[in-house]
Amino acid sequence: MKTCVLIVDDDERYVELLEFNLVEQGYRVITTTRPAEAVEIASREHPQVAILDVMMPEMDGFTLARALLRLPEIGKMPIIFLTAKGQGGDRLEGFEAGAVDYLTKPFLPTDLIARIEKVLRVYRRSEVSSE
Amino acid sequence: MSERDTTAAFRPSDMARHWWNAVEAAADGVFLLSLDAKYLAANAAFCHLLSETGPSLLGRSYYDVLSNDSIPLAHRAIEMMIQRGQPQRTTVVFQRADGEVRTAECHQSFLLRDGEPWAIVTIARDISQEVVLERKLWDAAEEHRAALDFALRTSLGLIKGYVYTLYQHPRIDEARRGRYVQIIEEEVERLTKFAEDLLDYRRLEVGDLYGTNEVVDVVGVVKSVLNGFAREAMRRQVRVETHFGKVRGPLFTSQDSLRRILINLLQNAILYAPVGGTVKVSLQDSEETLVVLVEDNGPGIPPEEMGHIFEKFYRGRAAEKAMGTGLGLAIAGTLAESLGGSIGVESQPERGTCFCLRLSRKGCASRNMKEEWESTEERAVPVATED
Repeated sequence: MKTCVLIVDDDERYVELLEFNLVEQGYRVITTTRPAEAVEIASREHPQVAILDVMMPEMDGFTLARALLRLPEIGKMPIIFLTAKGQGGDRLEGFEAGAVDYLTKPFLPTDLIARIEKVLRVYRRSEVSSE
Repeated sequence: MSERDTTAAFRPSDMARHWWNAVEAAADGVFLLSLDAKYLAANAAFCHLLSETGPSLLGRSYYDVLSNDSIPLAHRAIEMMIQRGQPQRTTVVFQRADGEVRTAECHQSFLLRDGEPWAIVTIARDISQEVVLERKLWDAAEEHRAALDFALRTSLGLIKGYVYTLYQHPRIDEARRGRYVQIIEEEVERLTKFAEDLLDYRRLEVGDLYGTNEVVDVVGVVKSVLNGFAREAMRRQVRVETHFGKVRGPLFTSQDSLRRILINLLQNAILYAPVGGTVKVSLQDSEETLVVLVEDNGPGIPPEEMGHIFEKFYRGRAAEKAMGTGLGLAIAGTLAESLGGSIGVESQPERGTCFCLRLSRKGCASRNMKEEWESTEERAVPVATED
């Protein structure tokens, strides 16, 4: 079964870029440009990893991350933040909001894929060890 | 506390009345400290700065009314003065009882009696307003830097990502390829505009962007600038209409500056016009003034932003989405002034914005040239159909 990745970014050009490259890599991808819809989508689709933009007009990525991680069916889903802000304070806030990784634009799609694979490996290993 | 109380001063008994009267009238705060930094006296300006009465200060420690951060600085300044016997200058923050703070630049030196120091006199100049202003400027510059960083990273990320994607997936379908190439092209154009704005801004700062005056065919310049925007207008599905009317003749002005102003105004208009919207460019000519109007039917400028749009680095709410540098209108406004003209703006929320460039006809070209050169063109065509 394909790993499901949730992408939330208000810039549809980034959504398309990431979706295309992740689908090509064999992932199942669900996307939205509206963070307010993301919680409902996630509770329905149960993604294994989420890629969230930080600066979005309706709801910032950190707030969205907290909302996603409160969903019982999502549990400890790893979250990777994408941002065009490279400030240290943002990173700290991201990790406090539940991020497991942080990618600053500009990046290559391969960078993101490598991060996804890494966090999934760690996540699966921790799941096995906790069983 | 009444105004009378706050300005009341207390005076050391051995101080000559005429000297203290001069100190009392000083605009800057003046106070005396004992060598162990206790208040001996303070003039009205200093009492007002601290919102204290003179008697309430008497005998209190200098450090009692300083903010925590300023205590080590103030302490060190007095120590240095005692060690070296030289006047000291330091900037400290006074913490008032009402919670307010006041920043003051303090010049301190000894008062001597029989050749020996017996007190420290301090002249404290209130620089709170300057500090607030400086902080605002710093915050604005910092905010602009962050916005620029964000916009550059966003554009570079798209270019990098889509170039990689096209390279890695050569068999990508045509529709997708076309869309990806278009995104790359748009972002390269955006970065180019960024670089141009920043370079122009630097040149403007050193007065190096004005160019030389020459006889300028304004209609020709407008048409040429419009042609440069044909693709962008088509891409954004914006119809550009021109209404040139009867133009009296050429203008004696800087063609480079005029071109730059028009580029910035048109870029704004096309950017903010909605998809399928309209941008109108029209000329109104008279003996005194030639007016270029650039109108869009975009979201308009909120009234509270109208007074700021020509400020450098100012980016309104709509501009946050458009990711501009916040310099385009500032550059256009400055250039218009350099041509002896001006740019006005009218805007209605949800109905659109009209920028009005007014150029003086004083110093216009010779009568012969005017007669040779007449334009009676009037048309309304979509720019997409132009060459």
